[in-house]
Amino acid sequence: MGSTYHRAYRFVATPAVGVGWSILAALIPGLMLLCIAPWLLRFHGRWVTALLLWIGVPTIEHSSTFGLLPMVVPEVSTYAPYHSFYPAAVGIAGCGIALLLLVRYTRLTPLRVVAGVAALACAISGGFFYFAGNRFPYSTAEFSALWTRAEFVVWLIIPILMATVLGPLPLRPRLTFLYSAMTLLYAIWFSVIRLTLLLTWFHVAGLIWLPPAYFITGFLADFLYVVGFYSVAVSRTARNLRARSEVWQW
Amino acid sequence: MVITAGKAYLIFTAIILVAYAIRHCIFSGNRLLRPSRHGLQEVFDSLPPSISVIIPMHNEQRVADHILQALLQCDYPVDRMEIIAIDDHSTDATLETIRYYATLDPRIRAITRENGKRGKPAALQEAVAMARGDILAVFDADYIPGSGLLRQIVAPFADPGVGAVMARVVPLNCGFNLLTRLLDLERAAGYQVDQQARHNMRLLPQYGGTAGAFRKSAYHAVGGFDVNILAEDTELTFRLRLNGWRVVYANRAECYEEVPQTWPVRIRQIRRWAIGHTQCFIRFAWKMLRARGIHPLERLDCIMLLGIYLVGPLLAIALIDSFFLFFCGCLSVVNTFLVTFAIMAFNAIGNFASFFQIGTAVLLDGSGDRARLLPLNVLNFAISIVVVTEALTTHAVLRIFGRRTIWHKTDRFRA
Repeated sequence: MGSTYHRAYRFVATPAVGVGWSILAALIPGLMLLCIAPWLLRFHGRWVTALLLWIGVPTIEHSSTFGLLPMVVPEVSTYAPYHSFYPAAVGIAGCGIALLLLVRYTRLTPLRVVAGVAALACAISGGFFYFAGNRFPYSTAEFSALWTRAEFVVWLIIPILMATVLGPLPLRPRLTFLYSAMTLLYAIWFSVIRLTLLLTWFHVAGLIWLPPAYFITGFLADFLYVVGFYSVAVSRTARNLRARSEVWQW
Repeated sequence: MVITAGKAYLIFTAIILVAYAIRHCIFSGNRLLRPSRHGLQEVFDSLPPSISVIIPMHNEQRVADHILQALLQCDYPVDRMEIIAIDDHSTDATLETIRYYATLDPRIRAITRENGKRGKPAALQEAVAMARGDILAVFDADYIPGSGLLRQIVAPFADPGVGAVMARVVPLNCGFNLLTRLLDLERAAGYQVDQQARHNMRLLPQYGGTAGAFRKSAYHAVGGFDVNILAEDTELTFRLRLNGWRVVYANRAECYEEVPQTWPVRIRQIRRWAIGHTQCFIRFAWKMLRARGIHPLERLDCIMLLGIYLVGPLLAIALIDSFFLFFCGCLSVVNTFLVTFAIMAFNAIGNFASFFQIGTAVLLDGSGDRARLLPLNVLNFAISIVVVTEALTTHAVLRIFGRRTIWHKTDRFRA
């Protein structure tokens, strides 16, 4: 059989030294993050507070800690309704929408699943607040602290994740550093924006929305932009590889 | 006590998910950094073994003539090849199409099944009994093999230890809509990275039941197909391996298929795979764990491969568990970390194809722009977790009441 060029034989083969440098370069933003962690955790809270005040939401700053690291956490006034029409309506509406969207699995689409799960989360939250809203274990300050701590862990994971996935690609270390740093900066900015919007929403609509918000806009959203940055990196690398002379393995 | 159990379950789930994530990272790293093994694919044998190509068909009039035409154009020696087209209880014009082609070329044998158990495994069992070839290749009716494919999948059988060979499957309707594009990415990762990495690392590539071939003597030695299982391909793969045969993946051999174009069809496909795979998990996990003569790493990988669809319900329960812990006020930073990491890890799983694996496949295939659809693959993930959980729950309930799960054929879209 005649040998012909075929994608089955393509061999990217980044040299081991290149992989090592790339991994190191991707980890540098993580090391920088550790160095500025005390400042960043305070800055994150203050940035959210400033945005909330700019929107017009009365906000109080609290001090908290994450291990030995000091944090600033914003708190907004809100209400936790229970035994009232509001949580009952949210619960029943959520339940109805979830049933409508999820019950016929043959008609499922991804949007139905996401909307159905969100509605289900609202239904559970509504039920909880109707029957035991006075025992809801979180205030907005506690939620802000929980959010900031979890996001900080995500920020620490991001450079490790980027080092793992970008390290073996035939990328220059400075580009690997750039992608890792950009993802990290986006993560910090996006966390501030999300927390601000969520606290505004809780201030306007009550704590009843906290559980669905935590589960729907939480860490899955973080995962999506990490994949987004990775997909841009892969797409550009593949395009660059096309311009180079190929290495074929027989 | 309940809260402790809830936390323990989250930790257990996170460990499983991280293990799968590591597995997929290793596979991607292997494909990016290590040269590939190709299993005699470039061997040209002037006298290849005799081959019987089996095509089970149930209501396939839309696609039947495409595959028959494609097979007749294969460069395989005419006197060493036969095509067994089986009409399995069709109610459309499939039988007429097969009979028409049988009159055109003596290599085609038209078989009708009007009685007996329906379904692909039963049809295959009947066809194998009448096949004359030493090698048996199986194709679903919506597949279109290239002219050199049969030679390429037969070449690895020059090694007498090879029991089955699997080709690469490439969607031919990938540009139809978002779903087909996402499935194209998933297939690319599944074959270009996952299957090839397993072949490189001397683990077990999976014979996929279509666009592949197996040795007739090996098939008889392990006792043939089990007609009561929904994933007869996975079942055969594991029985071959447990009996000392090897399964080879031939990345160079590409066959074109039609992927589902609508979500309901995709859902039926996932359901069938999830149930069939899990049936195989129940049947083979313990046997594989105790198997002798198989490297411990291969055994571990086989168990992870078999258990991949169990991750869906595992995660669904973990999400319910985290909800419960959340309302109990127990979502400490440790739990948050575990859930966070678990969610990141889950998105690197199995049939739902690892994002890293997809990226690697796109890079190796040299088609860069497709990679930008990667974040949207979370849509596939959302559907998969719900459908797999539902399918396995329903199957378990049906089993408890002594009823069988019904096999659903994948709908065709070609005009």
